[in-house]
Amino acid sequence: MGQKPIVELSNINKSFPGVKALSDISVDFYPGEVHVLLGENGAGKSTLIKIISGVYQTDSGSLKVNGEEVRFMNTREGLAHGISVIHQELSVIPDLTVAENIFLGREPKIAGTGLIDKKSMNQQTQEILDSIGVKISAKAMIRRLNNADRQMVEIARAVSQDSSLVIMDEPTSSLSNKEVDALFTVINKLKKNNVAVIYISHRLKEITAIGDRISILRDGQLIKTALLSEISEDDMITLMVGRQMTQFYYRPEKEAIKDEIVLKAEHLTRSGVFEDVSFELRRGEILGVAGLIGAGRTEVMRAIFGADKLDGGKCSVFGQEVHFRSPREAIKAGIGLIPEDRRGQGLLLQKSVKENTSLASLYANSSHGVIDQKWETDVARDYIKRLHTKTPDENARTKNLSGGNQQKVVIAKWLVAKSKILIMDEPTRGIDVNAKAEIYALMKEFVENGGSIIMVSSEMPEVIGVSTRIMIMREGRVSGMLDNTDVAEKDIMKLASLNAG
Amino acid sequence: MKNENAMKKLRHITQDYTMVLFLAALFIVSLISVPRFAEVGNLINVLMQITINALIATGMTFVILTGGIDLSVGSVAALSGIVSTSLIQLTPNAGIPMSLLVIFGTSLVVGGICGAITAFNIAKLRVPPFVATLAMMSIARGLAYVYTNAKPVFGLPDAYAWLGLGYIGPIPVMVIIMIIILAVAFLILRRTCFGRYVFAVGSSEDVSQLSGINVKRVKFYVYIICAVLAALAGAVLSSRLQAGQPAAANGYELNAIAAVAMGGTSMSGGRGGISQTILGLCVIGIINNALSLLGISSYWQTIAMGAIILIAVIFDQNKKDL
Repeated sequence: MGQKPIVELSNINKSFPGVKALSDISVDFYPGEVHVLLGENGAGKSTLIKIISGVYQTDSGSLKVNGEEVRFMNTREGLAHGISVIHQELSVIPDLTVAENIFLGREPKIAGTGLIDKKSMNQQTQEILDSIGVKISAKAMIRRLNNADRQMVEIARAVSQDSSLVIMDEPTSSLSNKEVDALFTVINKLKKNNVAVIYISHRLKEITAIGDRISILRDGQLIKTALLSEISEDDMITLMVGRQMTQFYYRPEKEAIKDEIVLKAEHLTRSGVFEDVSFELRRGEILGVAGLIGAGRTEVMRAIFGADKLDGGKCSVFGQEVHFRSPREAIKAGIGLIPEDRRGQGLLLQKSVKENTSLASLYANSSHGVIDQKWETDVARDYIKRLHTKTPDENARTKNLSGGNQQKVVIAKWLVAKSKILIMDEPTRGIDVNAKAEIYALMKEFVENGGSIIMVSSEMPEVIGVSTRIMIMREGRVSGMLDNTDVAEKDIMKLASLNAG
Repeated sequence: MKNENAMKKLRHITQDYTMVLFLAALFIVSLISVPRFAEVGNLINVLMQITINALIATGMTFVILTGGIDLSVGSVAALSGIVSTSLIQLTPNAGIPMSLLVIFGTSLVVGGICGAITAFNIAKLRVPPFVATLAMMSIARGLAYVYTNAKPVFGLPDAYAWLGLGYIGPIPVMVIIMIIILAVAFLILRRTCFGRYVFAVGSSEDVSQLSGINVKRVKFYVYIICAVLAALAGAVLSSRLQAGQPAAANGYELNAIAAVAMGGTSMSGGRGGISQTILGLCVIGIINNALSLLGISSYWQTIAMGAIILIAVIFDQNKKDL
């Protein structure tokens, strides 16, 4: 590679309050090369591409484009230097045509008037589409295109802006195999046109198929940059996860686990989201559910809880077959869901600790629908004390509590509702270390008192440290079930990210 | 200490003092500077003037607390007034009990039907509240005109006027009705599970749904409550006017929304309540009354109403960030 790099990063540092997101990253990106970024959730990939594209600014270190030092204050400045990003969530407007999307905000005008020169716009668009080998009409409405074609439109837009570096963030997460092949053809065209590509994906098979060079990130540090021809898949996984296990083990005692099966899922299917998911949950058990973001874990849990419809399969709770049409029925059967999006789905932020604590059991403890105010206040105070929730009093708005204390309020809600099965989706996301430990202790206490927990988590140390068994999901299917006696992160990562076979 | 508790309680009920202070200031300024304002007769008059709006605004409070809006209240009120007066015409010798039966019965039936249609469209068919109630606004008003051929319904038995014009002791009957309705609504919102769910749905439908609340049912009921109270307001108005007017209560949705917003109930739902609405009603009532006493044209009152809504919402939007 005798060429000069298009983008050079040297000694990049970036911190957010309480977290060091990137430390001392130095890496170069060359034209005509696909450079893969690999790392676990939270390893720093997103922060890195946001710095390159101008969303974030570095704390220290330098960013050079074509040998010239730059500091982008926003993405528009990045774009002006030829850097464009294709996000996981596509940002095309459904009710405009392909051409209108590609030229949005910089439409060619008919000279002397303010009118858009549609003819020239469509013609230019078609040329771009042809040049990257995409067979879509410039006049097609985006709404009528599938996801893969929409992505091609985004790529065409990047090309039309004369981008010299195109960043693709998990571009294949919603594509079928055939569509992935088409995407790769386009990427190869880009390479030929001497465009640099940064490619983020967790799918190792794809990475080896399309990548030229790989950089592996872990905990905000660049672990290794290598040519893909010189590194094995096994090495990639080891480098990606090889971190020291932190010192917490809150796994319940084996004796606590009973033979009784409290929840049994058989062949659960929601078309296009997850398929043929089967597992059993025993009394006193914490079942960890690992997998990459987008593997369908949250969706399975929502469906079990009655929040989304199932297309197939059946579910039994405490030995009885159930078909929940709403969360209300699931709650009656003794299930509680602690959602991933705590602030958006777990708590009424404008309401008090008291009102949130009683929300799911208000009616059951009322007399003919009239709230028992004494009960409500007592139970709220009781759980503030039992869970050591830090709040001025039970009337404080939950909005003003810290993440860990907010989560305790959500947990209290289900304890008050006498849930026997808790589904916890990323229970400690965004929570500081001490509060984490408290949440784990609560989970342990809950199962040792006869409850059962399904814990969805993307944090490996958490999955390994807390669960008794681990179910791994990949692309909407169960890809493995491990007894957590001697599990290494590597084993889980393999099941979570390798394609079958 | 006791004082502190009382303040805390007041704060809890009104969520902030600003409106209370504003109302107090407005009241004192009017007492001092507006001639005849301070007379007992005038103060009772203020209460009578806000009664119709109070009935509508009470229902509107439920709807707005869930994050919705009901534009059809004025039309539903007019339709209810037409139906009620037409029914009472059939019994020319009706006494007070019969009149009350007709008024309340009509309110329940007309309001119930209109509300159920609106509620079904919003809760089940997912029509946005703005559109669903705008449609009902047009339909109900149209029905009122079609049924009466655009002519007022006249010649009602004297007993029919008791509710709108009569007194029990020194207090007008309709003021008593208003106080009862406000008190019941206050208790429902504060003390019952349904009331709590109204707030919860307005705060976050997702959270409510995942906490086992039947969100659709809550929405369904608030639109029915709102329409029934609007219909009651319309029937009471017809009793007061001794006529059923197809053009009655035109634009009353604006007054009701103004009262709710003025009090500090959030237009995006979840925060506020009946105490706030009462504050809003009093402020609007006093302003209108004072402007009338000062001889300022009622057209200016309309302008004042528009300005009030705007100021209240601007205030609310910017308070949220604090």
